[in-house]
Amino acid sequence: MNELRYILGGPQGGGLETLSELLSWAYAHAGYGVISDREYFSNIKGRHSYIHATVSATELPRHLTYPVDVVAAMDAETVFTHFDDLRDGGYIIYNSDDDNVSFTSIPSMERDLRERLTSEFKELGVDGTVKSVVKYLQSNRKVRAVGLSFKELLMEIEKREGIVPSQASRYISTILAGAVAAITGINEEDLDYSLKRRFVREDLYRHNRAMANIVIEAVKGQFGSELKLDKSSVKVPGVLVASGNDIIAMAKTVAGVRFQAYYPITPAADESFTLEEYEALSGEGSIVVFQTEDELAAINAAIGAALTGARSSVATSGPGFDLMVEGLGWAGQNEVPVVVTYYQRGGPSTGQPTRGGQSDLLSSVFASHGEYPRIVLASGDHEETFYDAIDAFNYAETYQVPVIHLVDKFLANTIATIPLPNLDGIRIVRGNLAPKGLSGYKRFDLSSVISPRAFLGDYVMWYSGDEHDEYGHIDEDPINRIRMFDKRMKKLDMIEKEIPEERRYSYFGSERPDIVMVGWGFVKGAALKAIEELNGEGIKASYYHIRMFIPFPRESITKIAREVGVDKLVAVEHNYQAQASRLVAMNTGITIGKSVVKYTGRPIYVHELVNAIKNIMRGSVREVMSYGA
Amino acid sequence: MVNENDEFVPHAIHTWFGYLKVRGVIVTRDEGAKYGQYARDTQERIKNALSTYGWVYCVDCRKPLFDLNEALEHAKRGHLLTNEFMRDEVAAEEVPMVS
Repeated sequence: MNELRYILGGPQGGGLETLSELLSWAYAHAGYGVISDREYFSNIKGRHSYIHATVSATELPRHLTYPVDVVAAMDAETVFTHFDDLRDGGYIIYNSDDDNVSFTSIPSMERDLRERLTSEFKELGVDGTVKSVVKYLQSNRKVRAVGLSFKELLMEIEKREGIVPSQASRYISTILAGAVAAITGINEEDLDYSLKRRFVREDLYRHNRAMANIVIEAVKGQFGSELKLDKSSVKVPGVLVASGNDIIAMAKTVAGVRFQAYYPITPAADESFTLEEYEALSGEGSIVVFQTEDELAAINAAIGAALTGARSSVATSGPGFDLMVEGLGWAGQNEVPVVVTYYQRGGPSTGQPTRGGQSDLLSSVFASHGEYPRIVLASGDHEETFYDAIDAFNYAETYQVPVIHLVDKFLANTIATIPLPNLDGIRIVRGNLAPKGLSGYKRFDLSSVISPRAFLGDYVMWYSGDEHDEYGHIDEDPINRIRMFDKRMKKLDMIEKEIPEERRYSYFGSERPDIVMVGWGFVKGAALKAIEELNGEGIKASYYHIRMFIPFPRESITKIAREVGVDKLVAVEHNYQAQASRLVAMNTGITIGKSVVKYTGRPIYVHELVNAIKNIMRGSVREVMSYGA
Repeated sequence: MVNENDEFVPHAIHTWFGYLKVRGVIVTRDEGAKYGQYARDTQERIKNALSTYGWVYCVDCRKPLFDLNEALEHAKRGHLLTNEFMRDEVAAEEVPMVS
């Protein structure tokens, strides 16, 4: 087999992260491509959390889909929640000590799911215990059940090696890692690499190595390695295994960011935490990461730092961005190059803090009172986001405008293998800087659209939220207002002229398509895989991927709409309104009348996208996808 | 070796095992329940715990209890009550930042 999909599930805080890392690193070390998405509740501990992954022997995957080949369950709740995600003939790995646990006795399960299971189990003739569900899977779906007594395994290790009590959940992670490794034929060297990397303490490594050995021996002896992946044909010289958060943090260090301000918010904060690990207050490559008291302070701190000449940014999510909007307007008014890395999650209000979405597009494009130029770019995968994050700072300083870099929770919390970034073509562009030694420096010099920028301390200059003259002094004169306003807004013309059309979008698939998916952000991975699957069914599909919303790729989308016909365009988005299609209409007059949307907070999966597109081709104008626990 | 003064401290997430403080070993919940401090002198202990901490936690129902009668009901049903969990250095690494 050349692709493996699995779900690892368990209580939040119980060792899933470790389990996922052990497996991802082992597969990556063996040369496979991996992507793994984490879905978790917004409480801290105990609620059901799961990792959904794709491992590929032929590519660096960007997609997730169902059904999966393996469900590895830390607890009974995972068995009940995900048994239906398994393909026929797949594997379920579970704790056999839970055999008699019933879904009705699980306090952390949401009422809605319990109600759905009640009717489903009734239909299936299942009594609602783990044992009965496993039996159903074995008899009706040819699933192979790997029941392991976690108690016995833990006690065995306690007896043989002892256990480090303060890290006891590590051992649970290793039970499942060992079982998955056995079934999927991960070789010893690759698993050992992971264990050594994850368990730095020698005793912990030794214990977990022993645990893995016991499990592998037992599982292989009984089941073999039926799901062993083909030898990898992925040909890249080196890969990173990193989350979207981490990739952006890396990109910011490459981009020469010197100041990042943030107030902790899901799913943005991990980026700042990673940057904090590299915090250095002085010297070459110094970076200050400043946790402020709220998002108002964060954006204003970043603006202040930018005025001193430091490359500056904030990382936030919807509720935080809302608070930053007034500050963003101040940056627009004062032509401050500041970057907002905007991680979208489910809104409005607190919404679904740990779930994904793309419902903040219109907010990022329009939010503010008054008018000022801004640039909005959006990344579709880990690789794109690395380069976009760097471009964001170059654009901000070239045009002296705020730049919003849109990503989403899906990208942020998904760990993927990506090729090592190519740093050769990366340039730091600081834009029009004022030379030293000028007399009578005017920060907002009207002789050019982009006034030479001096840093605080270089010259005397004035900044105010109010309209101002060339020096920055408050000035309400109507003629000055027009001249200053025009100067700012003319940047949009420059941006339009200078940022090439091909930077603003990507196009994938058939040149003469039967259907064109129009999307952005994390839709990309599912869309690209859907093209392959639809092609396999004789449907010529393509994907138009929007990478910038300001400036908008109006020429290319207009051309495509003209060539293939508007009726073949379908918006694919993670929001209710198909917001990008609204921007297509605003920018081009083209109305995309068909949409495939998902707003459950879970990613779009390939199988549901393929089905939805086929329904659209049969005449549906709107498909709402909902798969995923 | 049974030590009547030992005390079972359950794992906060994987509640099917825990730690015996005096012996310093990991044991299953069933084994540990014999040493659950609320299994002995139930009413008095729960009363003291509630007056000192204001709560006891039912491991089986994964819920804090604040009322003596309710806590006694859980104890009568054989549920494991506790005021303390195993220290787990792992949890912080395992739980994504949520706010």
